[in-house]
Amino acid sequence: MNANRQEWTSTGSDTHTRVIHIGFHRAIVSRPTRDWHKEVTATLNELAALPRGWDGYNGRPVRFDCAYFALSMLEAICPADGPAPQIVPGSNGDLQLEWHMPNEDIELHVRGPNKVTAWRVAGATDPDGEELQLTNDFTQVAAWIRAIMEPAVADAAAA
Amino acid sequence: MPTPPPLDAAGAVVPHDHDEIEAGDRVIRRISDRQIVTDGAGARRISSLAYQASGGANGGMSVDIEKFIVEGGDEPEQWVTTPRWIGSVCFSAGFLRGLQFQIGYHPIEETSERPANPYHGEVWGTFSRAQKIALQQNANWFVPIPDVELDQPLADQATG
Repeated sequence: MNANRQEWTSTGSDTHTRVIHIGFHRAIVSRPTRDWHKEVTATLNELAALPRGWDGYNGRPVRFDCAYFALSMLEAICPADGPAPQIVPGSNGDLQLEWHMPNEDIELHVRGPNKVTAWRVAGATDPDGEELQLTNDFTQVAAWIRAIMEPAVADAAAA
Repeated sequence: MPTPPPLDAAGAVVPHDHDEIEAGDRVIRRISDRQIVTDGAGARRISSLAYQASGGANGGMSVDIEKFIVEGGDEPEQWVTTPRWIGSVCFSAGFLRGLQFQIGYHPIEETSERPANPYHGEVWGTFSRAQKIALQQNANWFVPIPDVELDQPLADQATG
């Protein structure tokens, strides 16, 4: 058993908790729950526990620093009622967050903390899309996420 | 057996185009169910992240070389799905070289973490967005995954 490890766990309806195990001690940090938070957290925990070679070659499990950064970035860019991303592990311990809508695709490749390649293609006019290399300013990506929420917001308002 | 690959001073395989991998030869990329996403139309597809190089010096995208599997006396479909990988796609070496990739041979010896793969190769390149889109749009099934679609497959590409 690895005594030095970290995991996220849901402890109730109104809080979400990150548990850091250091030796036999635990540090618990609570945070507000978001609609997508539980699903994303569960997926990140799964991907961090992938076996070596999960991809049929020499793929590594998702690194904790990548997972933690991805979650922190999501909290900054994705509203509480925003759409949950699909999460794909990379072979290098990296990961990619993806949103695919009928007329728009967004992919955020988290290569490491503060190393993100963001890509969006909207409509058929520019099939290569727009690609950004980001470190700590995700304002543009937050705007992308808001844009894909607009149809859902309009539907909710009409209902 | 194929000619051994070139090595650097540290013994690592150097990116190269292997002479015995010809334009019409197929290279196979295994696909895990973890690499499948649902697109905006509700169809299940392979993520762009399935097409990337591994990290580290000289790291390329891992593949299996079909010709070497056959020459080694193994059955390709069985080799690339053993023990648990659910599917795989393939490209012709000529197509990949046309995208400015190099395709080389990199046999893997058995370790405590992974089995040997004497038919392992690597695809080296920058894996730019344009290249990744080209890979997604020109992948052909080698071992299809049920209910997963490929992006606008070009039926005649795999044969070079």
